[in-house]
Amino acid sequence: MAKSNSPEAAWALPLLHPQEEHGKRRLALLEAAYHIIATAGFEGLRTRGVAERVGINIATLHYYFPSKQQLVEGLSMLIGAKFVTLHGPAPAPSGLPALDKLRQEFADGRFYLSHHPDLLLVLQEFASRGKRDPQVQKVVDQMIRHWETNVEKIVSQGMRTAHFAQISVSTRSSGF
Amino acid sequence: MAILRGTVYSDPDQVPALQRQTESWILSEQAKRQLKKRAGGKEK
Repeated sequence: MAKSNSPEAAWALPLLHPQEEHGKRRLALLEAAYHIIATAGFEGLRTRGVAERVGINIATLHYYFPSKQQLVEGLSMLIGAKFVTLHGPAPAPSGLPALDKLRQEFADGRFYLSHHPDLLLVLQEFASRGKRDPQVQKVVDQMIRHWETNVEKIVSQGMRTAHFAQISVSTRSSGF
Repeated sequence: MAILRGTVYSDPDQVPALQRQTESWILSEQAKRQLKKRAGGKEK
């Protein structure tokens, strides 16, 4: 499993590897909710089921996540943290740094498919649930914005170094 | 990156072709020449 120690991933490490009890229990709750969505979909997500899976009562769960929306937002952070820390094998350097980053994105896609299909499943669950639930869609929109910003950075770097063709802003990320 | 778009990575067999198309679309002519030259140098 490839893991990233890049500065971009620094924010995710305390979430994925908490040192204190509070963070550990919070992560256990998020992982439980993640597992439920991966196996039973959003339809199967009940806060009571999450609490039972971790072996705590519902009141304690509400201490960590006072509402289901906060649990969903926490989950989006967990998914984001997984994406920024898990990576496929780095492609051979091409001599063009922006192209290497672009190739890494494709390598990551193949890696998630083969090693972390659950990650893609949960993401798809978010996307389809978002169509019927504006609160979930808000979280999906945030994830998409984050993704687009990342694409923008890669494309801008490629254009600055003249390794990428000049592409208009509107087609940069939509082109992908 | 196309992950959030939902469809592309549902079929792993599509990934290499998508990558080729993307690179062909986005790389400048200068970069394509540079890559060809580099590949030629490695073959020698």
